[in-house]
Amino acid sequence: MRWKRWRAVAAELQSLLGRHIGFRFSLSVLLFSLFVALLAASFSVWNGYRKAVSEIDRQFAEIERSFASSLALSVWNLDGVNLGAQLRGILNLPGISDAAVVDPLGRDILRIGAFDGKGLTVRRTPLRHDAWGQVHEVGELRVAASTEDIRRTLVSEAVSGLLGETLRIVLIAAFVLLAYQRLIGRHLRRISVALKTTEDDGLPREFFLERTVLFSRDELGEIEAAFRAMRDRINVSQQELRQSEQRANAIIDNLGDGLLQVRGDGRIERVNRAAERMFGCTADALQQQHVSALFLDAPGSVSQAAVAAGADPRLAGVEVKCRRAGGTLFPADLVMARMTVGRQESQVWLVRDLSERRASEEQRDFVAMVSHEFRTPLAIISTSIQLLMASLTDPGPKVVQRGDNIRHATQRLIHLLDDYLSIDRLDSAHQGLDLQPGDLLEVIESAINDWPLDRIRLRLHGAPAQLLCDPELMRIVLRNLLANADRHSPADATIELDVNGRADGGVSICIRDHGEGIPADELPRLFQRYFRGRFAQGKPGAGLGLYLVQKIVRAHGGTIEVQSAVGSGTTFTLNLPRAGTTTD
Amino acid sequence: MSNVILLEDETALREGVTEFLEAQGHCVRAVASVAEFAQAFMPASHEVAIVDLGLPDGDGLDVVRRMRRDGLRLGIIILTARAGTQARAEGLASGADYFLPKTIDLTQLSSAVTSLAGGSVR
Repeated sequence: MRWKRWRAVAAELQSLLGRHIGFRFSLSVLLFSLFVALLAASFSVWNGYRKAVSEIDRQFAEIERSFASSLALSVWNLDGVNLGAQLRGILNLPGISDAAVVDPLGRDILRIGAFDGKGLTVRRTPLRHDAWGQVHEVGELRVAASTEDIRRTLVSEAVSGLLGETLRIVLIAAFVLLAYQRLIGRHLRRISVALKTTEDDGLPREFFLERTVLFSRDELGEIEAAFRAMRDRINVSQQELRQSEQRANAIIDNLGDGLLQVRGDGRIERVNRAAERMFGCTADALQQQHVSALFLDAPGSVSQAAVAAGADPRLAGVEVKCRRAGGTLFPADLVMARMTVGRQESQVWLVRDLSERRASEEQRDFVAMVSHEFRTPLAIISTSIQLLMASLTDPGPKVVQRGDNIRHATQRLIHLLDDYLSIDRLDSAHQGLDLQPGDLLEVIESAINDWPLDRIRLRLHGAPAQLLCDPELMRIVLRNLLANADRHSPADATIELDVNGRADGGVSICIRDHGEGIPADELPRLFQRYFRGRFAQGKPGAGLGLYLVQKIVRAHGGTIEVQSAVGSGTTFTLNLPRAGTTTD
Repeated sequence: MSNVILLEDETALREGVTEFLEAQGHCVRAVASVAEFAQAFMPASHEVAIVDLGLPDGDGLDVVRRMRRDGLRLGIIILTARAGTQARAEGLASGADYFLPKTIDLTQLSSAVTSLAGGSVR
């Protein structure tokens, strides 16, 4: 029972020592000091004993010197009284416990003491007497001294000294413990609490040791400073990390393509804003879904694509049908990539919504179809009116005017279709300019053919014979500009068309009318799509002409400028850099 | 003045153009399909062929190419609703002399026929 209790106490002590350096520290001091004290006490006992023994030896020698000859004389004379007095004198000496004189045969002559005490040291000295010229062996003196008393005294002295020393040591150890707690322990506890506490921003809590400034540069002070520096470094790198994460997130969120991060089991882990828009629901809603819910034919092409992505880290786009929230479908291009972060593997699915592209392709196809289908009936109308006019022998001026009106109306519809087709062609990534070295004059002439000869005055100054351009589009540019000039100037005014060669080998084409001009506030918006000026109200046009002109000119690497004043006319100047080589 | 064969599937246009060219003094044979054209075309006598491209039983471009492959030197005018630089380039590359997009400017057509019939035949 008692043994068990001791073991419990030992375990408690062990855990206390294990948990507190202060206790270990002070226990070490205690044990070491005790050991030293014990060593010192042992030495002092040993040394005292050695001194006592040599004192006894000296005593014995003194006794020999003082008493040997007189004792021998007393034995020779058989003087018992004197012998007894002498032995008692010896016994009175300090430390001597027994004394005896024996005859040469070993029999006692006189004995005081039993010679049987503990720790006795016996010295035997032969007694010799010199008589008649001869030395006679008359007996032997035996003296015993006891070291027991000395030992007892020494030990009791040592024990009492040791007890005092132990008390001192215990006090010192207690003080050591106290000093440790005060100087080191409480600060260490504060540091460890600070290190264990994490603040909202993820940093360990800052701490301040309560110490005077004088001591603030010791080891603990260094730890404090180092901790603060470390906290600052962590703070800085955390901010950097956060910034770089924000940057990465910004990139991901601003991607035009929808991004899905998909786990191995097909659960969606993360989505970007484009994906939210595309699938029409919030990130939270998306993240609860299985990826196959977003794709129409998930068991087919998508799972195959996923398998392929597993085999190949990057997978080229597959076209899939995606399901928007609410069930509508949209076509999309899907690219998958495998991604490993740490030990976690996931896939990144990039979804590009193709519906807009599809819609614009359909629109383009529709415009092309309409253009083609409109042309034949318009051609019939135009041809018929031409034949009708030709068959009249003497049509009046009004009839001629009406015939021209019908022809011009069909012509305008055709041109409108041409313009739409050209815009689509310029917008399309697949088609673009069809550059070829063309005869500049032919392009210009085909454009001015629509008007009577005296309406346009053409002047050429050092113009290159050939121009590297898309002839069809360049014809549209000139036709549109000339049509504008025609529409906005009096019927009897001449439109000037100047074509000049430029120093850099390009060509500058200038179309000037003397019509109503353009108000200054409209000039900045002149080339915008569907813009129509005040003077254009009530006149035909869709607001596409100048928009298309600028688009074509820019596609050719050229510029277009306009100068205009209300009442005095408008000048458009085209600068085209790319000219073909001049033939001959 | 000259012998013209016209391949155009649209009746109103076919009749209108025929009437116009005959009024100009040309002798016109008008057909509405590639098959009819193959029957009516006489390489020795026709000087000018006016060909529409989109036809019910074939593409006019093939007709033009076949005539050129056969080494015929008559004048060829393409008359089409196909617009754009590429269509024009294709048409001229097939061997046609003129590429006239619809709507038809009859004056332009007349001058083209006259120039082809009047000795500037290839």
